[in-house]
Amino acid sequence: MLKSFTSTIMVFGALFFTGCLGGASNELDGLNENEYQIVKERQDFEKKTQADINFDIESGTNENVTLLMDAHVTVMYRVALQDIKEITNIRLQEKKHLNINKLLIATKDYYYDSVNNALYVALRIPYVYMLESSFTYTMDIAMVDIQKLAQQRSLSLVFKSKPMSDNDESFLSFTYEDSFLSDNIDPFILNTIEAERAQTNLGRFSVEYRTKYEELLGEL
Amino acid sequence: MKKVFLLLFLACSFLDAKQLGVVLVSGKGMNFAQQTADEITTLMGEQNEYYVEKNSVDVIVDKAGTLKRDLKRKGVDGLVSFAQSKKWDSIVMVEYKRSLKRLQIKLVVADEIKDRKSVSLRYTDDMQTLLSEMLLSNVIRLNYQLGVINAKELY
Repeated sequence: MLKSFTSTIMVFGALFFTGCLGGASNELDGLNENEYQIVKERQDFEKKTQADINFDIESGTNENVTLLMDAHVTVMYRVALQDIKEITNIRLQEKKHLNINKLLIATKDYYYDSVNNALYVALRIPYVYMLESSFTYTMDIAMVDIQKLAQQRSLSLVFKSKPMSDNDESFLSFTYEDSFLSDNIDPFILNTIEAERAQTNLGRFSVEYRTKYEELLGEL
Repeated sequence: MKKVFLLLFLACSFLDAKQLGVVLVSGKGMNFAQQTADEITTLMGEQNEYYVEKNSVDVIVDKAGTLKRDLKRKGVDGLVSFAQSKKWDSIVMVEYKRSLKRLQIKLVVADEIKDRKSVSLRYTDDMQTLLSEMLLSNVIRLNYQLGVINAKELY
């Protein structure tokens, strides 16, 4: 009895693994060596990034609004590009409160999958960026097209800490209306902001934003 | 107590700081100006705001490619010796290949392993305003990929 049970488990296990491996290799099937390398590296980039949220941005779109259900997350954007050969550099900016003006690093922050014409950009959104109800990143992508001409695309990425339409969804870790915007701040948020402190460059933030930060942490 | 930890944290980050060397090789089709070198240095300072380690970049403009010829004759060992004499942790040679219209960016790590990696980028005159950004982005990228810098982020 035990033997037949063990065999059944093994058969199911084998089927499961075959299924998993089969599914994972599908995208790589039929690719030449160069294409295989590109897609494999992109898959590795996705794996390494472990994004919490994924978004597709179509080729004609220049703005994306992200309603964050939670912060301290990594958002992955899959930006569709047309006839682009290579990405030369990407600059990310926020000029209102956070004063971010940063060059993204290829293979760390982004990867261009030229086989599928898709740029994958991973952005980390800590709680400390969400002390206001929203902020906007401008992402300038410098690239070269298949005609070997320089091209630029500017994307506006808006992050809002507004509640989702159904605020009672079970996967929400807290209700924003009861968090930053009122006196009843969830202690979990404060503790996370405190934990982010060692990694936070406060000197870059605007004076108003820094004051807000100090006031918030004063409540701990 | 928190301040002590913060000071220790900052001290450790400075210990991790790396000096990245860049040689811009002037030649046919591209004469790198000192302005490009200065812009790259300034940009690097700005980028340090986002990383725990405070790295710096030292950029040399190799007029007429004399340094390149000398180093090429000595091979990888010559490159590493030159970088070490400058106290650089890595050396990046940037050269414009006019026939291909591409910038060749090659990095060699200045240690006994002499690990190396390169990237080639399309470059035309209409990309001039982006040149410093392009170069620095790829210098950081290669140094990150070969583990010279860890690029641990600051929010």
